[in-house]
Amino acid sequence: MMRALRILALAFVWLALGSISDACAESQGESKPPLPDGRILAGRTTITLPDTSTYSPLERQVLALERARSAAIAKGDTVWLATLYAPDFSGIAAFGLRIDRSDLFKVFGRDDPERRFTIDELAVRDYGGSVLVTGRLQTLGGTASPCRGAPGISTCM
Amino acid sequence: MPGGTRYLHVYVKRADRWWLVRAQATQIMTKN
Repeated sequence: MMRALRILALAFVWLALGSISDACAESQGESKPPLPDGRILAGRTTITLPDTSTYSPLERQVLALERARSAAIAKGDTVWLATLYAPDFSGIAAFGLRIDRSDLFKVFGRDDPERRFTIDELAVRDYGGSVLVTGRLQTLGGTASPCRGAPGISTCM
Repeated sequence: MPGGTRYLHVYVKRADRWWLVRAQATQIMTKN
């Protein structure tokens, strides 16, 4: 009986450590193994990675940040997101709405957890002093809006 | 499936770390 309990306890600890390890890896931008088709899953977003064979280490670093960003949005991890989105962040949403960091985080908080996203056409370019990322975001399932956030106040960014 | 959006993110390095400072998204209205 005691031996069975000990085995159960060890199994519980092993499972718990595995979950913590996964969570830590994702929060640091490390990727889970690729899906069978070569894409990767970051939170609720399936990402088609670009060909990085010509990328500089700096461009790869920013690409890893973009992957971690998707995972953090899915988890609602605004603590980590606040280390990525600058305090003076400024954005223009798809329908022309200007949005700052605090507004954006509120929108992320209202995101429909049933929604899944895909990102493709991803490209990272270092222009010396600044790095530009371009991509295409699409929504699968959940509410009809093509963007993240609550319908009507979505951000698409 | 909706066409989705295309987006641009601008990162700059400040105090030895990268920050996302600007973003702009455009809704895709065509099949391209």
